[in-house]
This record gives sequence, structure tokens and C-alpha cells, in this order.
Amino acid sequence: MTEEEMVQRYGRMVYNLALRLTGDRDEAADLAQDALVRALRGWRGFRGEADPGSWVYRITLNCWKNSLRSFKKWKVLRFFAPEDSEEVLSEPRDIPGPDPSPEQEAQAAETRRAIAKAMSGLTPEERAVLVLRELDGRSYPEIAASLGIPLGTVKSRLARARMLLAEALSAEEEPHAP
Amino acid sequence: MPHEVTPEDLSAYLDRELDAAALAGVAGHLASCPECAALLQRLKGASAAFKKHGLEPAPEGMVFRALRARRRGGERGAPRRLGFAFAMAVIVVVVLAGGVAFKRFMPQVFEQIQGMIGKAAGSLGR
Repeated sequence: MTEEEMVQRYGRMVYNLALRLTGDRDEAADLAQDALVRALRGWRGFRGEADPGSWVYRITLNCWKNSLRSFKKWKVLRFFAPEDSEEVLSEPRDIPGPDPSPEQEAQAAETRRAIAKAMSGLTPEERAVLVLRELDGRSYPEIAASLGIPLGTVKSRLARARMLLAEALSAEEEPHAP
Repeated sequence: MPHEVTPEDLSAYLDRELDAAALAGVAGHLASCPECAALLQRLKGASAAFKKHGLEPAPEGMVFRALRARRRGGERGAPRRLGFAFAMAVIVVVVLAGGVAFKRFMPQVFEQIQGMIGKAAGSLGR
């Protein structure tokens, strides 16, 4: 895999991970950019001992942690700065069909609102586990390696995230019941 | 009916991330517990909804900008930090130079202000 292929393959996921960690599109764009540049710098030294995805996500997480530390440190100064039996039941992400009807659009918007509501009740670390599992199809050991957490923590964070999501989606459906 | 499985088990069952014995245990419980079977369906629905609607497009040109920054040997945050440090240095120089000029060209006003600051400092010290 060349460095161009690496950033093409993981760029979008790095942005989505950054988005769920920061909860802000502008901050996520900056964070993803920093993480990708760091990954590109280190790519030649990456010997393929680990999975490249886990490695890139780990870099993203470290950049996020550094940004938190730097935010605390420079908080005052920033005031002046500019702004089958083997079948896996949770299948890979669906690709949306073209030209959804207005009803489908409205339903999708409601679902997105419910997702946003559920996300606000989760910690950044819980959201990160959800992104790596649901959007990139990472296995639990891969997620544990990417985020540097025990396997049991992956399991509990993912379950909590899904429970909260399920609650938000049920609440969204309730007003439409007869 | 007592629940032998937790939501964590059900979530891991959904992903087939349990060992064979645990997988069989959860499957057996699901066959006799409609409550847990319903919860599994809800978790499955939540998972599907996030897969379908949770992914956002990356900002346009982000990958290209990262590659360009790499080729230039820099990163986006570096010039911004450098610019901020430069702006702070300029502010410090302007403030110091202003103080010196003020003392030289308006010595009486300077002394008055100096006296006021001294008084204020003295009252604080009491």
C-alpha cells in the first residue's frame, strides 16, 4: 500500500472518528488533517507489524489527546486566538440508494436527529468504539488495539452505545404510533 | 425468568464476538426469553441505523491537503501556532515600546499613573 492509498483508504474514517471524538466539524477537520499528516510522516517507518487501520486510528486518538492537553494549557491564550451460523448479524454498512422519496428523506432526517441525541449522551471514547465497529467493521481485538483499551471495555462501551442509540430510536418512533 | 445474559453479551452476540460456549449459551437463552430476543432486535436496529446514517463525508480536499502538507514537510497546525506566537511577540514589543515613549514624551502623566499604581499596590499590601 502506498502512502496515497493509505490516506485514501482511511481518510474518511479518520475524519469520522475525529468527528465523534470532538463533536465539532471544524475541530474534526483540523484533527483529521493533523492525524493524516502524522500518519504520512510515519508511513515509511511503519513495517506492517500491526494492522495499518489500527495504527492510523491510534495516531488519531493520540492527536485528540494532545489537543485536549494543549487546550487546557493554552485556555487563557486561546481567548485571543481566531476561531448464517457464521453470518455476522451486524452486516457492513448499507450504501444508500439513489433519489430517496421526500418521505424517506424525512424519516432519514429523524433518524439522524435521534442518532445525534444519542451521541450527546455518550462519552467520546464510547463514540469512538461505535465508529470503529459499525462504520469500519473492526473486530473487538482490533478496536482494543486501536484505542489502547482492554477487550472487556470495548464490549461494555459498545453495548452502552447501542443501548442508548436503541432508546433514542424508540423515542423517535413513539410519537408516530397510533 | 431470570436473565442469564447481559446487554453486553447480546451486543457481542450480534457481532459474533463470543467464544463458542458463550455463543451457544446466549442462543439457548434467546430461544426461551422473548424479552431478550426483543432487546436483541432493538440493538440490531440501532446498529443498522448507525451504519446507514452515522457516516459523514470528509471535508472536500482533505486527503489532498494532507498529501500536500506532507510533501512540504509541514502540517496545518504548525503555521497557525507560529503565527500566533509571532502575534503575541508583536503585542509585547508594542506595549513595551509604548511605555518607553509615554515616559519620554509625557513624563508628568506617566508619573501620575505611576503614583496611582503605587497607591493601589500599597493599599493592597495593607
